[in-house]
Amino acid sequence: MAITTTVEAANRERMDIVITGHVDHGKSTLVGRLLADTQSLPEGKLQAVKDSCKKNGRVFEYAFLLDALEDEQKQGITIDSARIFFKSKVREYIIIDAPGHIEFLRNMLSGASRAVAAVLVIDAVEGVAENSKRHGLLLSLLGISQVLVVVNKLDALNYDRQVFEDIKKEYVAYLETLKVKPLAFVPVSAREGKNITEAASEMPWYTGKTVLEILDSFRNLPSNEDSFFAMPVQDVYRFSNDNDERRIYAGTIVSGEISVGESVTFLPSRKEAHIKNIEVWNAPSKTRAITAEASGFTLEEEIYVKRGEVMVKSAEKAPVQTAERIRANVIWLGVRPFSFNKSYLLKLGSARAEVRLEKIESFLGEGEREEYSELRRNDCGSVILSLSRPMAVSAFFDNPVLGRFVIVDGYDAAGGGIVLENLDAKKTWQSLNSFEGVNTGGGFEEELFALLKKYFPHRFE
Amino acid sequence: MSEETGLTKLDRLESQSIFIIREAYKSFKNIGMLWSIGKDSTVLLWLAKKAFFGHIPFELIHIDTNYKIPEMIAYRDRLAKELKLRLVVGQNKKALAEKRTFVDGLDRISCCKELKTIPLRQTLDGVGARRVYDPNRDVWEEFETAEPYNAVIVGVRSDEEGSRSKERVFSARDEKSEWDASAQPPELWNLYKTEFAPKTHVRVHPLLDWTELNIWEYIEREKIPTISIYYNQGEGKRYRSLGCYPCTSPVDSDARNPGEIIEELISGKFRNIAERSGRAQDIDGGGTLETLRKEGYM
Repeated sequence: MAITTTVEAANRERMDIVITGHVDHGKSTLVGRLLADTQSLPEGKLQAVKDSCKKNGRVFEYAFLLDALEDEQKQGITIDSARIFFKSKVREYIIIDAPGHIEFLRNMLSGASRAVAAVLVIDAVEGVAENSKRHGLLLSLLGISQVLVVVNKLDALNYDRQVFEDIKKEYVAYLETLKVKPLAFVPVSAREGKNITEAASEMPWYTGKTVLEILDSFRNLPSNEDSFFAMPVQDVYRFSNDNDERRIYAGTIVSGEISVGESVTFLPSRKEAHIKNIEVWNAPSKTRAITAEASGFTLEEEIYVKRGEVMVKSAEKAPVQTAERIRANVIWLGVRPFSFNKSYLLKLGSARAEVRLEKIESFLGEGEREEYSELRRNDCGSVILSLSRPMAVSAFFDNPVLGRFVIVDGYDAAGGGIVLENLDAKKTWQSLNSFEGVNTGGGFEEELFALLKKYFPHRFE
Repeated sequence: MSEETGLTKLDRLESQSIFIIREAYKSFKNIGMLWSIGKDSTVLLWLAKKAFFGHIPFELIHIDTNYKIPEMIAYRDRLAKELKLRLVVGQNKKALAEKRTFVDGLDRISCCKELKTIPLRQTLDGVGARRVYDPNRDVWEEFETAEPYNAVIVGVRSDEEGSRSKERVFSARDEKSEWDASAQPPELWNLYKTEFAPKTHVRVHPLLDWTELNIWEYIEREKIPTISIYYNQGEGKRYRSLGCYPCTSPVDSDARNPGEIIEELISGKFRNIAERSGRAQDIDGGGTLETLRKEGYM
């Protein structure tokens, strides 16, 4: 039935996936193959690119299907990540084809930060490259736990099983140091289309799933609806010039759910109020709002809160805490290094504060360096940051949205990172609890641990 | 529906776009939203209404090339009145007077530059003639200058064309509205870069993650009033993409409503046909739209 098809398509799940790996290891070729072999290309596109190659005396490559920018076509290199839309029988995908060249690491990260799962491509001929390791590290820093490792170009090695097994062994050992457990390793030839959408008779020794089957078996992130409620206040609206008397507290719910009548607390100001109404335009009125909804609330009590505060439920023991010092992992992308004695802008949730680098505890993923004097472009480090004013944060593994941040240097989006620990936590918890009159006792940590285990099981394996 | 979530794919797309529109409104002093009359920017308009609970706290900007399909202008003026939109219409009157257009012998790409890119840049910069519709008084007024916009919200989608697939959500243009596609800043999670040097123009793109199909699915779900020429009205033809009439042709199609268009896109005749295949300026060789876009075209 026509109508059924329409409804099914509209409700079909969507997943964002990033394809990463070192330059020339075959990312774009893999995506080009996926598109071509699943008939996801516009009619005539494949032929048009083949014709164009013929005309210009070039050998056709599937990667040409993707490299859209003129400079990319001229240089045969992916410069910026592209969003590519793709459908399997199971769901819709946005595949983010991220550049592998170290110079474009910022673009790889821009792509990967959107993704819930990653495909990491390794060239079987070249083996595990420095960048293969760096990308693995970045995926772990971004909290992407679903990783499929594709060992490509096995056609050039007569589909040699031993090469595949050796690379697998080496890379698994590396990922273990990052506590990342890849979900699968697949030997492929992207150019020849082996093990991409169909099993390859050339590799009878591989009995696992194809790349497409593994993509389809990935799971979208849990909805976090069962988690605690939190919503960074994005803005407070009052459009009184149109005789609208409502003061609407707007924002996107990052976890949990909330209903009309419930009592809420804003952090860090700790002002309290009750939800009067959930505001909507041109839709049936509602009494409950859930995770990921762009929402707007009116409150029973007219209180003054601003963008940057986080709304939580007064009755809930949310692991959202006020912090002025945090321990964090940072990836630095800025032109100028991240250095001491300088002030930067930190953006977290909807909040903004000045931030200073207090200490570099260690460099991540690289050999030891003698001096911890700064983080240079493309460096990763574990650091302590101090904020100019208190901000409501979570550890990344409690709540990804309230536990990740961007650092701006002037007009330059210079770094990104995740909160590992709130160094003010103890102090803040005591004062928060006494304020709310809630005795958390020892139960909180157990609850927290259970939550962590539920949402980040790979961390406990 | 996804087994693990309460929101559908369309709910999520809607939510994410509203988040972006709200961030844009909060981040720039003088922001506008481009409205091309087409389905994408009309969806954008709808999302803005939702984001601000029935209000649109900024101006809508339309660039009128003088060669738009006549129904588009009639629909534009009617919707502006019905939805109470403050509408700013920019036009390159000089190029029209001096006959620097495709119908007067200019090539297509140069015509796009004369009638779209240049007036868009001028309108954003606050120079050049403009007509402004004031919904409260229901009148049109003529102005020569205005305060420049720091940013505009634009309805481009990644699946339309290669260079658009590489866009950032908050995308900077320099003083001359030019785009350096190979040197874009990082954009991590939804912590968008909203800090820009003075005189930077920013294009905000809330619809990058939507496909043509998603747009129609949403129009159907929300019952958004769209222009009639998207639908077959008895002659077996409809427009799939709107533009200027010398360069845009209708496609053969029997689809009479959004539901039938969705069918056509999912399993019917347009399943594997690119949306802009009815637009002549895209076919004049690789990279042309990218070239236009580097100079300030949408």
